Amino acid sequence: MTVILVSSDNQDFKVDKEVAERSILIKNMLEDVGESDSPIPLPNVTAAVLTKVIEYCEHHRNDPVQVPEETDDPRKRSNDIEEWDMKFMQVDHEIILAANYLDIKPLLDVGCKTVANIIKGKTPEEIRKAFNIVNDFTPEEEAQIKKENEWAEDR
Amino acid sequence: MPVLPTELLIKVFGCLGGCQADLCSAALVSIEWNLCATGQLYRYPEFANTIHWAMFVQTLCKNKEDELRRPTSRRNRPPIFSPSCLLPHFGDHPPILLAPEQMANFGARTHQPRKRDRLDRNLGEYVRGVDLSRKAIGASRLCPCGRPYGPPVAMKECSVCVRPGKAPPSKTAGNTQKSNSGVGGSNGQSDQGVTFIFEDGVTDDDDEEIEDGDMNSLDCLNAHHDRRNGLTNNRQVLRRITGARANSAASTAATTTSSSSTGASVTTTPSSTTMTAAAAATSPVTMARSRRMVSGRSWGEPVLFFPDESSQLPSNDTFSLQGGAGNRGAVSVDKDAISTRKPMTITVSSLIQMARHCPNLEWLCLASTALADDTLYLETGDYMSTLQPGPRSGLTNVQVTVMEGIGALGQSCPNLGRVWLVGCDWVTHREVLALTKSCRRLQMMDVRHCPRLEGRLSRLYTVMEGPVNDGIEAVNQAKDSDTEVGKDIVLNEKVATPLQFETAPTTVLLGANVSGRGVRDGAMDDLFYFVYVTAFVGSSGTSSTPAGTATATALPTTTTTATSSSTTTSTTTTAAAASTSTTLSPQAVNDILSLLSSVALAREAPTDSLAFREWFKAVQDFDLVSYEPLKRWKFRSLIGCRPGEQLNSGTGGSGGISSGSSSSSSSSNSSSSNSNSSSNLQQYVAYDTDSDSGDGDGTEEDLI
Repeated sequence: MTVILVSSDNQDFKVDKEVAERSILIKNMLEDVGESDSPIPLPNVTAAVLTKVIEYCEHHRNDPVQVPEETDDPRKRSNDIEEWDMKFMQVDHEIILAANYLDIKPLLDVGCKTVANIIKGKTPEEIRKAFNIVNDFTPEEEAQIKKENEWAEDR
Repeated sequence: MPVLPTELLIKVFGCLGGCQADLCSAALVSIEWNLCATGQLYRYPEFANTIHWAMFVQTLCKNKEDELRRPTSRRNRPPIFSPSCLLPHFGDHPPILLAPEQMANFGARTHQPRKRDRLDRNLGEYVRGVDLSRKAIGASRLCPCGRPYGPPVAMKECSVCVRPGKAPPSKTAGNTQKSNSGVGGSNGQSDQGVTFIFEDGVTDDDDEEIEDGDMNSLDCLNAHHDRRNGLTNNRQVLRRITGARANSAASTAATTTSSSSTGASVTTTPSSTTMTAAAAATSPVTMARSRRMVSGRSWGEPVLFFPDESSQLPSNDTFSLQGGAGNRGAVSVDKDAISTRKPMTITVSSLIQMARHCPNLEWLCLASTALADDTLYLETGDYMSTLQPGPRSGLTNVQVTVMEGIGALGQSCPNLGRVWLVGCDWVTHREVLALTKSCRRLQMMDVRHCPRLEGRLSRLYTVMEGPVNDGIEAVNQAKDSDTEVGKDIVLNEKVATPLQFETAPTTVLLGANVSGRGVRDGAMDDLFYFVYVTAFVGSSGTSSTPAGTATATALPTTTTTATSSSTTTSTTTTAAAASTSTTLSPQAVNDILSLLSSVALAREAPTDSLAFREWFKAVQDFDLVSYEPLKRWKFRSLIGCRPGEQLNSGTGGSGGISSGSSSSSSSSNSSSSNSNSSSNLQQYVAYDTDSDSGDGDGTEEDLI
């Protein structure tokens, strides 16, 4: 059985139901709607991104569904990304947003780890540049934060 | 690059957990980022040294003061869940996935603080766990099961492996190296406090190297690096253990030379520890003994730890051989033990302040820290340690002790569930009791390697559910008949005060010196261990039968052997699971027996409870590394005759006799621990003089 997904720019994607259901959002919708051929609109996802997401889901279609881990391990390691995923993520970070929206947890995890790796080892200025962020601190605030977090420096 | 929404930022920073420097940078990027990163940064703070800890406490206090001073504005915050996302068209993000994380980050408020307000938040609310042990920041080691260790770094075991009843993935074949590395991590941390004593006088600049090594391990991704890392870990463990031997020898010396200084010999300041070492040097017996321990270790251990890495042996051996020859001490030998670091000295006041500002604290790791008392100036409310000019006159001084720190923890941190006190000099049974009493949610307390929790006092505090009707959990002080004096001490100190835990099924604690000896002696040191004892309703409240005692005492042994054997990673879990049976049923005895034999001692043990007790006592004298009877040390000539060897054993023998007499005189002063140590010493002397029959006799006398 196939499902038709419609991206925000009105492109249709025909996907296996099994693949589409990697997305919890779509899965829930399908369950709610029941058997119907009506296309599913995904107004937050552009065609380019959706192509990538579908590619990811196809690649991981045989993965076991992730069991929610009850361990509250805060030190998720950011360096255990699969090679394929790593290459995949190099393309576009909008995928993270799409993964969040479509509720594809493994993809989201990979995406967040990728971003974390980008942040690693960079100075604030470099991070701003990498993420195109404007520094909206006042100098006083910046000084305050620096002082607050002084303890966290390595030595 | 798209702008990442808040919930994604939080998740991203969650991936950065443990990389404080990166989180710091992230916190300085923009306000939005700061809000998300700060929570993660303060969640599990780590400190490079005492100064950073002080800065941390200062930050916490300052923020709270600011908040108190300023009239709290009714902040108008936009909700995270904008109503639009609740509308039927799937308009916005479905943040359901991340809502819990967001809630945690913003203090369970569904409203995100307004941007400008947020820099005035109470940072202490973020803090969930504080690790004050001296672990290198950013070090990430892997558990044998392949997972990173959780926040309780002192544990050095991931939460999955530790959880009873959940067997870790045991990839036995070809996995020895990996499991070795895991065990190296697990032993390393807890042993740090043991070895530092000998470093203080020797070298102070170790920190850099360790830092680097651990940072290396952080980044190593491929198997080769992992393997190398495991090796270094193992070597560190080896060094630490040798250090531990020497240390215990030092405390023996202190016990022998001055009966009164038994407790005081372990003090917090480096100067006095040097004194202890000096005391060790004065006694030829302990010199010989420590040397023997070091040498005995050096060849006992590599066999176990490097089964497939015989190339590692020579370097280790030469190092130890030099120690044996140099014989000035095992003390200076441990200069090589650069893998350990000085403990952090923490004032009680800082602990109290931290506790007051961190209501959400869930765990606290004080492993191998030194806790210093402080003075409170009643008039100003300042602590002496925080004031620069030093002591002031004209103010009322109030001494702030460890007890008050513990009280503050209990009062201000209702969620405190796990406490690591591994290797803390300041921990005595009073502190243990106070903690269990004041922290109502306490689930686990690790008191391994606490030098002052020694001898019979630390034997085994088994927390059990009482008989069903009264619901009071009774502390069952595991005792055995050969420790009458120790039992009396325990009773006098009211250790057996009933404990009441809010959460019944999980409880606690344990550190045990199963050997029951007054001093921390050699192989028995390994027996300081912790066990989870899960109490269960309906078990008999007190255990008085000998079999039961033996069972209870057996628990730590199983765990220890499981860990130090490091061949089977799953045994730890099994041991923990087995330890749930605190009753004295024959079934339990059988379980433990099977465990023991499977783990360490491939040897038939009697199932009869009385015979088991005798047998277990004999087992206690096994070397836990090699699983051989201790007297096998007389075969040490097998590894070649070393210069100075004969000389040392000679002095050891003669000194042993003299010390035996001296300590017997001191033991007439009704000090039980002394008598223990003396008999102990005699036993070791017997080993040293290589007299086989003497061995057996000494052991028997010691045990019965």
